[in-house]
Amino acid sequence: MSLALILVLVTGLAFGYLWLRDQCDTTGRRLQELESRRGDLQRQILREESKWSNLKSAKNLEQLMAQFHLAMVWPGEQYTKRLSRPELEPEAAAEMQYAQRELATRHD
Amino acid sequence: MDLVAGLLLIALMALAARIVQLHVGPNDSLRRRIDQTRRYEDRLPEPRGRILDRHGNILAIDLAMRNVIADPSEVLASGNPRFIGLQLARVLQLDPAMVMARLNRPNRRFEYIQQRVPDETADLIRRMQLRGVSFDEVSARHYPQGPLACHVIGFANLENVGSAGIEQRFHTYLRGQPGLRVSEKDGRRREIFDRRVLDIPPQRGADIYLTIDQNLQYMVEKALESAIAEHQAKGAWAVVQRVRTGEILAMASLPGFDLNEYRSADDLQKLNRAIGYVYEPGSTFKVATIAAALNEHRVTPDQVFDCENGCWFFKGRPLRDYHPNGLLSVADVLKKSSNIGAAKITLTMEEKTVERYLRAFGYGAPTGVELPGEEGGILADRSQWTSLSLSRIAMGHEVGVTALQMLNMLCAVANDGMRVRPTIIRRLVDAEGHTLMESKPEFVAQPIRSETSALMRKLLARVTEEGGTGTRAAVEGYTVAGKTGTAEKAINGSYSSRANVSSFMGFLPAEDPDRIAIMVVVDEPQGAFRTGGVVAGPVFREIARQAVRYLDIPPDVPVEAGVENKPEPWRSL
Repeated sequence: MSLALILVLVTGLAFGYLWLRDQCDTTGRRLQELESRRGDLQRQILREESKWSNLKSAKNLEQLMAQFHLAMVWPGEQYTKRLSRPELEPEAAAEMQYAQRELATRHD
Repeated sequence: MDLVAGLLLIALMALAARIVQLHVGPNDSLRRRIDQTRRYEDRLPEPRGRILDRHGNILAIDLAMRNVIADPSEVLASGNPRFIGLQLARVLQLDPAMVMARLNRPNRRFEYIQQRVPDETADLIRRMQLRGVSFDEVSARHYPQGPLACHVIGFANLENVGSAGIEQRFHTYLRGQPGLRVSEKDGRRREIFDRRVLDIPPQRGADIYLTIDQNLQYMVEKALESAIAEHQAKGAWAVVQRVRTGEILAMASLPGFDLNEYRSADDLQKLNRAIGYVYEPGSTFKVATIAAALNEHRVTPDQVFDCENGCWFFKGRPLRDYHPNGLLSVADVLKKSSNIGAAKITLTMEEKTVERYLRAFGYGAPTGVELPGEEGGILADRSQWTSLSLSRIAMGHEVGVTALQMLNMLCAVANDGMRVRPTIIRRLVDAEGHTLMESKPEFVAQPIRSETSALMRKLLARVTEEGGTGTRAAVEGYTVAGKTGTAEKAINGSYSSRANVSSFMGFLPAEDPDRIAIMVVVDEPQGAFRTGGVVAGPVFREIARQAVRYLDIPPDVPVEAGVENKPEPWRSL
C-alpha cells in the first residue's frame, strides 16, 4: 500500500515537474515572441518617425502644394496685427481675476 | 511472454544505465562538445543616436533594412532561375543581366543580390515566395531629408562610423553600446530560453539636437540654388546666426549631395565651404578695420578723407576704387565701400594695433564651431607684412577668411563688441532622456567697446540705404545693417578680373537685441555685374525676408516711412 502511494507520489511529482517544465518552455517562447514583437515595433516606430519627418518637411509640403496647384505667400505686414503687451494686459488681468474667483469658489 | 518482458526490462535497464552514465559519468569532453554546439553568443547591434533639428525634426536616424540574399544552387535547382532573376531585377531596379550573372553560379550557396533594401521592398519580394531567395536584417543610417544640411549632418559609413560633419565630430556620443546575449540553442537552432545565461540589452547612442532649423535651412538652400542658377556660379554658401547667442540657425553650402548617396559625391561636393573654403574677403573686411580705427579714436564718422577720384598711388603702387570718389567722410567710405578711404583710415593706426584687433575679431584661427574640417584662414604674422600690407589688409586683401569667420566678426560688431563662439549643437540627450550637454553662449573676446558697436550698427545700416552699395539687400520694414564685398580670385599668381567672390553680410533688425546675422557668398558668378551688392545682396534679402517672417521678428521701421530727410544716425550717439 505504502509502495503504491510512493509510486503515485513519484508519478505525481514527475508529472508536476513535466507540467512546470512545459509551462517554463511556453513562457520562454512567449517571452521570445514578445521580444521579437517589441523589436519589430521599435523598428516600425523608427520607420514611421522617418516617414513623418519626411512628410512634414518643407520640400514635401511644397511639392504637395504644387501638385494641388496651391500657392502660398508670406502674409504682408499690412495683413499682420501684432498685439503689444499694454493692449493685452487689461483683458488678461480681468481674465486672471475671473479665473482666480472661479478657483476660490470651487475650493469652497 | 515472460522472456520477452524480461528482455525488454533488461534493455530498458541498460538504456537507463547508459543515460545515468552519460549524465553523471566522467564525460567531460562529450559535455564540452555538446555545450559548444548548443552555446552561442549573439552581439546585439547598437542603434546609433538620432540627429535632430532644434525643433526635434529628424535629420538622421538608424533604420532596419534588409539584405536580399540568393542561394544560387537552390535557385538553379528550382528550374526557373530566369523568372526569379527577372522578378528580382524588376523589384530592385537592377540590371537583369547582372542579377542573372549572380544567380548563375551553381557552386555558390550565398550571393548578395542587393544590400540595404527598405522593408517595403523586401516584403514585396517575400510575398513572391521566390525559391532560394532570403533576407537578413541590418541596421542602416538613413537621412530622411536627403541633401538638406548635408555638410552639417555629415554621414556615417557602411561600418556605422561617422565620417563627416556632426556624425564624425560626435561619433563617440552617437554610437551606442552593443548588447550581448549568451544562451543555448536546441537541435532546431531555436533558443532554449531557460538556458540564457547573459542578456545585456544594447544601449542606444545619444540624440543630438542641432541649433539648425530645418525649415530655415530649406529656405536658405533654395535661395542659394536660385542664385547659382541665375548667375551660373560655381557655388554659393550662406550661414544664418543668432547674434547674441552664436546659435547657427542655418548653414548651407552648394553644390551639395544626397546624404543617402554619399558614396557617389565627389570631394568638392562634400566640402563645407562655409567653414572649409578660405578666400580673400574684399570689402566686407573693411568693417573690421574701420571698427578698429573708430574704437581707437583715430577717426570719427564725420572725418573726411580724400579718395583721390578713384586712383591713389601708395608706396609707388596704385590703389583703385570701383567707383571714383572725391572727399568722403568715414561714414561714407563704409557706405560707398571706398578702398582708398578704407586704406587711409587703416593707415592711421600702427601695424601692431591692427593685428591685435584682427586677432581679437577671430581672424587667423578657427572659430571653434563643433564641426570637423574648419579652416582658420590666413592672417600672416605682423613680422611678415610688407610696407603695403596695411593698405591692402584694409580692403580685405592679403588675408584669407572663411564665411563663418566673417559672420563671427560681424556678430561681434553687432553684439556690443562681444564675440561669442558660434555653435551648432543645442543639446545632447542620452537614450534615457537625460541631458548630457546643453550649449550655452560662450563669450570669447571683446574686440571693440559697446559704444563703438552702437556706432558701427548705425554706419552699417546706411550701406543698404539709397546711395549705398547694398541697397538690393534692404528688406522692407526692417533696418538692415551690412556690408558688400567683391573680391577677385588669385589665379596663377595674379588677380583675375573675371573670377570673383561676391558676398554680402548683414544683420537685422539693426537695433533689436534678438537680431539675426546672415552671410552670403557666391563663388564666380557670371554676367556683366558680379559685385557683392548685385549678386549676393538679393540672396541676402531673399533669405532675410523669409527668415524674419518665419522667426516672427517684428519690423522696426514703419513701412510707410521714407528714408529721406532723416538726420545722420550717428549724431544721436
